[in-house]
Amino acid sequence: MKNTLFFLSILFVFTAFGQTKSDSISIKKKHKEVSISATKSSKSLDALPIPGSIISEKEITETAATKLDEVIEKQTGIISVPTKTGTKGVQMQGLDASYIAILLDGCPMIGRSFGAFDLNRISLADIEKIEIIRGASSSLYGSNALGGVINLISKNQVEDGKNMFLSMKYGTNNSLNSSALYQYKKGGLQLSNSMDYYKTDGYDLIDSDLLNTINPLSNYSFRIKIKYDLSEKIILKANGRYFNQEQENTGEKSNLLLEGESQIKEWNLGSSIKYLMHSNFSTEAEIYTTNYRTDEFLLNQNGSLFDKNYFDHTLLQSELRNNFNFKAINGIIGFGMTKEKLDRKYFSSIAQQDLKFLYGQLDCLAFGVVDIIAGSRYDNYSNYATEISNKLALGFPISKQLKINSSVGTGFKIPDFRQRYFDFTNSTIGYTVLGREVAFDRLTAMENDGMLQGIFIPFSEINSPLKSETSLNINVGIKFKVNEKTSFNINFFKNEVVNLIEAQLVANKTNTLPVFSYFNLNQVETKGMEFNTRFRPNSKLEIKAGYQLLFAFDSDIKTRFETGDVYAKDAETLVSFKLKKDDYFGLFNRSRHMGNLKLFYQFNDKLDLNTIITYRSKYALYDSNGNNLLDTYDEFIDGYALCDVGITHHTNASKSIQLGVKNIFDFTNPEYISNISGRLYYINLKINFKN
Amino acid sequence: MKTKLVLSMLTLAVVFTACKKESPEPITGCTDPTAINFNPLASIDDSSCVYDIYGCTDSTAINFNPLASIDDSSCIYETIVAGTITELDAQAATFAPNPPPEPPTITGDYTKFSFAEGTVVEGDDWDVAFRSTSIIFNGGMASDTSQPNRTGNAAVYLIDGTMEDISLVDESLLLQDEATSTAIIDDMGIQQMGWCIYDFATNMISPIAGKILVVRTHDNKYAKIEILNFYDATCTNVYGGFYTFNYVYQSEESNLTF
Repeated sequence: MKNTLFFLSILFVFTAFGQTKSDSISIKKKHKEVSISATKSSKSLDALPIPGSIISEKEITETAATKLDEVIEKQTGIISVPTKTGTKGVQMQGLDASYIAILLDGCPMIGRSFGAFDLNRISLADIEKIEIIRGASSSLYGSNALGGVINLISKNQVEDGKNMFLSMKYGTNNSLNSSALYQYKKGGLQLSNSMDYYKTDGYDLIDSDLLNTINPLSNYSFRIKIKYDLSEKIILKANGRYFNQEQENTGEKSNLLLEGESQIKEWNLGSSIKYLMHSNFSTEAEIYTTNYRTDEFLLNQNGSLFDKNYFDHTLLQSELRNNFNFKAINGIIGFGMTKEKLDRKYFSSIAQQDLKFLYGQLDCLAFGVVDIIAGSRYDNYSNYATEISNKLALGFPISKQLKINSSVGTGFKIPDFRQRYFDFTNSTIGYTVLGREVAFDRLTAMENDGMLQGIFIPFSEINSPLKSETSLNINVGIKFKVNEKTSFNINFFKNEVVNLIEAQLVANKTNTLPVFSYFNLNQVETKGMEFNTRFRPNSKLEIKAGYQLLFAFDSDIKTRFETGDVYAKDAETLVSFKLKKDDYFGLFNRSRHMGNLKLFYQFNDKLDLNTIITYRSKYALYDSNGNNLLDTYDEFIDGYALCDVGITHHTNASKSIQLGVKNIFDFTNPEYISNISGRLYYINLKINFKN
Repeated sequence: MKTKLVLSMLTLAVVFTACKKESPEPITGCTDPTAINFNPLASIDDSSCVYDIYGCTDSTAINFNPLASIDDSSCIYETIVAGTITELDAQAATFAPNPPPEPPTITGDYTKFSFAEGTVVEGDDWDVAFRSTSIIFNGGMASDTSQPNRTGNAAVYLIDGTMEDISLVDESLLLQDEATSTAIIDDMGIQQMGWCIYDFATNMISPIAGKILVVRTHDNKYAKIEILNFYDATCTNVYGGFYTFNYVYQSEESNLTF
């Protein structure tokens, strides 16, 4: 039924174009922000009927951001916070980091810890803009794009010549970040080289304990991009990136400090050939491979090894993309394959996965007015059920000022390697966690050896693979341009994610210790509203404001509140009492309200001021009253606001100096928020050589 | 002379009338022969009758009647005792982590508690015993050699509610410890199948809200427990083992209410 509707809509797109001969898309592109993430080809942001935004180079520069996390957490509805597991990840529309794909020039970045991607790994030295697509994008990008996409687009050089950017930033905690970008273009040859070096002493928010909050670390990355026009019709591209990070690793055992080191090595290699066969048809073949490896160890006081850990993930992807224009239709059809493997501690063997995929998307302007995007993707995993993801988005202009956008999309995330191949026994209290693919064999062996005491879930239920987590995403919004000075947009969103994968008790060992495996259990829903406005009263002042209202909850828990008895313990007496229906707050680590206010003021050609305030209302990471869920009686982490102020002096067209303070009011919460270090001063020098 | 006669006659009449002997006055008092202060001489009842009141004359009984004069054996004594036990020490002697995949070694004695005594006890008349997150009852079978002797008929079940809500024992739910598993599952809080919950982030164990243990004691009486805390105030042991709990004990045999 769903598919029938989808194909009907494609048919509609085809019939709609037949009556129109608009070439307005290409005209619109001029002087407009262009997004390529939503369609894998250029599309004006204004014409895009799905919720997307672009962080421009200007914004990156103004805020003196040098790493991705510095700029991403200033965006409406997006936060980058440490989760319960301690890993820091980005959250969007209330969905957490494991559902958001991070792309570098369209290619997927790997290397996640508990699903979270450390955004500090990505240098912005050669980044021109960052595109953010909110909501299910699996119809183009497959698994991991269930909640959205963050795509970093690197700088392209337009004019012949050499271009060199140098920057050096120094600040509190002895943090140093220097980067260089060298670009060269001559005729059909384009070369871009960048390097970035970062080091910090870290910081310690709690002096009384043995460990630092953030240990000293240093990292560097190199990136090279080459583009060569073999002829007017054939374009060759190649790129490579290498990242290396070393950080002190510490641990605590019986009040003694354990020391060691952790290291990350990551590389990416890609190359492509594009053939512009015809003005209306081009085809591009791309091959991309990346590897992410971490090694860490801790030593006992006497120098012997206490613990050692490694994680080695490789991805190889080849893809063929075909773009075509037919009258007012832009289309893309692509297919390819991905090979992935993961070797890590606690896996009994190397985990592998092959994928073949095929996708197609059309975007067009029907009847000269309605923006339509319709796309579908088919993912065929070697040892998994196939997934089909669809998306349909429509944009209706009501007037020249007002446009209504709506989109419906489905997303999926296949079970990750940990949920499938983990084979782990906790050394402190002795429980065992088994990935779904290894659980049956291991449990059967345990049973045969008489190691099991109680079996709570029949093994036959474990013998089938996990299902993918899937989502339905709906967005309805308006874009309203009040006048040349003022514009705003509002988007209402809803995500329903089903078959969430959680660990569940399968059996007890003879020593009563539990054995867990993974199951498709929960269902969550996030819904809310995002509001963004921009006000430019004159050429000197620009004010932007953003707000997100969010309701995120677990559907089963919500039902329990509505139908059953849910209890909590009184904070004072510890005696249990019954909760009422509306005492359910929702998912952990979600704030009901988030907002930002950005103010940019240009005193003159040489001097400008930039201020950003971000706010997040109360939230909680843990249950505090004995019911394993978040109710209004729990202890919350207070809401907080951060304020950054920076001032830039443009000495001349090629030199600038920035001075600034981040977190000017020195907000910290040592107990719960480890990634906010207190007030940070910085100075940032930039030089641009051109000839 | 005639006047004198009249005067003397009058005087005599006055004397006669004045000095006439009075008849006896009626006696007032309780005229009801069933009253304990019946006055057989009284002819007029003055509402002072006091009757016998039957009732409980023992001031320690819950239905003590201070007006009762005769004890009619109706005295009811409180069989329900409520109490709070603070930081009952049930730390395991050792809780030693082992290198994986071996489970940790937990050794040490159980701490035995008696509802009748309202305190920790030695000997065989215990009802419930604690060691770390494990709770066992004096009945059924031992599942581990380190467990104390079982001499009674204790059983237990775990139910959702508050102490006030759970006021009647449902005997059909009672379970006894078995050789292979205890009636209260000890999952160290990891899967919340027992009384507690383990937080992977803080490594702390806390009682699940709204879990009431309904207990049949070793000698067939009933009690209910709500566990409030698993740590002592100073948190001397990261593995906890200090039970603070409220309990209500019905000392009357086969009385299912509390």
